[in-house]
Amino acid sequence: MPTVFEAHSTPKVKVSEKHTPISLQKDTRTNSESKMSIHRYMHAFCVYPKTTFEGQNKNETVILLLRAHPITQIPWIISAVALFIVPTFISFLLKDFFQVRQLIFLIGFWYAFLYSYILINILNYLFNVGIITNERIIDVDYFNILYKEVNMTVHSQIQDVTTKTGGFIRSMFRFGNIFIQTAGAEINIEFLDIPQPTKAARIIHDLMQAISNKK
Amino acid sequence: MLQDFNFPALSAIIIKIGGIGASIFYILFSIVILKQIQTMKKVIQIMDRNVLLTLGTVQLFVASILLAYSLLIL
Repeated sequence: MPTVFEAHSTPKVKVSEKHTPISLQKDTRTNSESKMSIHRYMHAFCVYPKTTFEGQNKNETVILLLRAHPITQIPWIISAVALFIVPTFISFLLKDFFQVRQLIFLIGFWYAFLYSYILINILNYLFNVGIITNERIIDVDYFNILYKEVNMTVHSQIQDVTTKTGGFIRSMFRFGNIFIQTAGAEINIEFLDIPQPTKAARIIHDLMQAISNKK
Repeated sequence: MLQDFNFPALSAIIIKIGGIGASIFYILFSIVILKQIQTMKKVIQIMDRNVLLTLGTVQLFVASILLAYSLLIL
């Protein structure tokens, strides 16, 4: 007798969904048995990244890692390109005033500082992050590399999550700000220029709900 | 008296001293950045395959070349 209907067995999901936000459960079920790491917008919106951080608890899982949208890095890239070209023109003007060996030193120094400028901007991009775990929300801000500010709050302390998106560029590339208001005298947390702020806010909201339901 | 004064030689000495000073400053700056990269990588462990540390070391290497150049050639 021919087979009329063949039931496909549904893939078993081993992911612990105890703290997985509802908005992410769909993503984690696709084709993988483990928590699938998703990196979007040049690692600016990472779901379940392999990143760990200082002071992470044993059972704490990083759910979301946020950085500024790559499009916000365009201004310093343009200025770096402009600074790269400048010595070509300046050397023509200065060659009457300096010896060749002095000119070589000046140009070498110029490019050394340009290299440092690019390196510092890359470091700023990589290490100014927002981390959302199953327990808390952490905002790490570096100012000029040397000054660090870390704000964190647990999900139960969050009062309100607001997203702000506006303007032509922000609407076009879908990035904006998230403001997280915390209870009492705790410092409010803000993630600036992050991609898909609405989705990130929904994940935070889901986590808040999961924590409140657990209570 | 001013006619006997060798202005190009004086300006060369000033440029050499300035170059050495700037190179020393740049070496110190590179060391600080390298140390800071190590600290940052402890705060957030990102999977960069040590590229950032290599970039920091390259910066220090460039700074050493500039200091050597300013001492020996400039």
